[in-house]
Amino acid sequence: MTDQHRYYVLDSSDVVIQVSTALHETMGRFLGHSLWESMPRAELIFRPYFEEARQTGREVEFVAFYGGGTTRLRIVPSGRALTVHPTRLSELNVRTLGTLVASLRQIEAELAVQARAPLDLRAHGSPQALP
Amino acid sequence: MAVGDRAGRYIVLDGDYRIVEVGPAAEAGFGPLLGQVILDAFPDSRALYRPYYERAKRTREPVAFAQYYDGYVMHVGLEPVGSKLIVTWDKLVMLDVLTLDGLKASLHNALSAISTWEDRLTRQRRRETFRVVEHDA
Repeated sequence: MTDQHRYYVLDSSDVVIQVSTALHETMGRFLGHSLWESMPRAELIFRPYFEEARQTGREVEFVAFYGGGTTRLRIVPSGRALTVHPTRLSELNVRTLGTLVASLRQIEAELAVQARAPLDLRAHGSPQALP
Repeated sequence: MAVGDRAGRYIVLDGDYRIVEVGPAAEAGFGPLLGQVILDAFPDSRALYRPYYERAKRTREPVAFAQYYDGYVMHVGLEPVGSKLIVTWDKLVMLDVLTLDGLKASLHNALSAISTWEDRLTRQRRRETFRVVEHDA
């Protein structure tokens, strides 16, 4: 399933106004509520990217650690509203110190890729950019 | 059994490390596992806990240690009673996995807690050794 099927929509105040069927189980209860009330401490991490999408009118994509794992979020603006497509990449495995270290290394690598080479979103969305 | 001071947070293992009794406060986590060998119920804990179980079983002396498992640093106490082993525990630190900052801070706390407990247990063992030496002298 592509991220086209997994999305939620925020209004200009970051209130969740729509949740796709694929995300309903995990995010359906957030409908009608501010995303920041539903996802404590996420505002500091996500909001700068959301604001960038609103201000530039362009898609923004980033990888963030939140809620025990990494997620790639693709933000598609439409005026002040945003459609957010989240894709879970990896989970922190807290079972033993060994699994914790291994999963932290993977997460570190995922976040480092983004830090080294921020995605060119215009190219990313364009088939002409492919070799 | 001297487990009243643990507010019912204990389990009892038989000689094969089978859970044969579960304290009232441990019922939610361990009740469904009654009758199972604890090391089979949590196979990835085998390397972390078995050496301590073996030591308590072999020496017939109480054993205490700090251990990380499943998102928690716990202080664990083992008390041999007859052929059985009473296991008690206190959660010292819970990992905060919500954000990276929270994770970093809680990992720091977890490592500090383990270090503090190791120091405390080392000092305790040293005191016990001195007492034995003084007694023998």
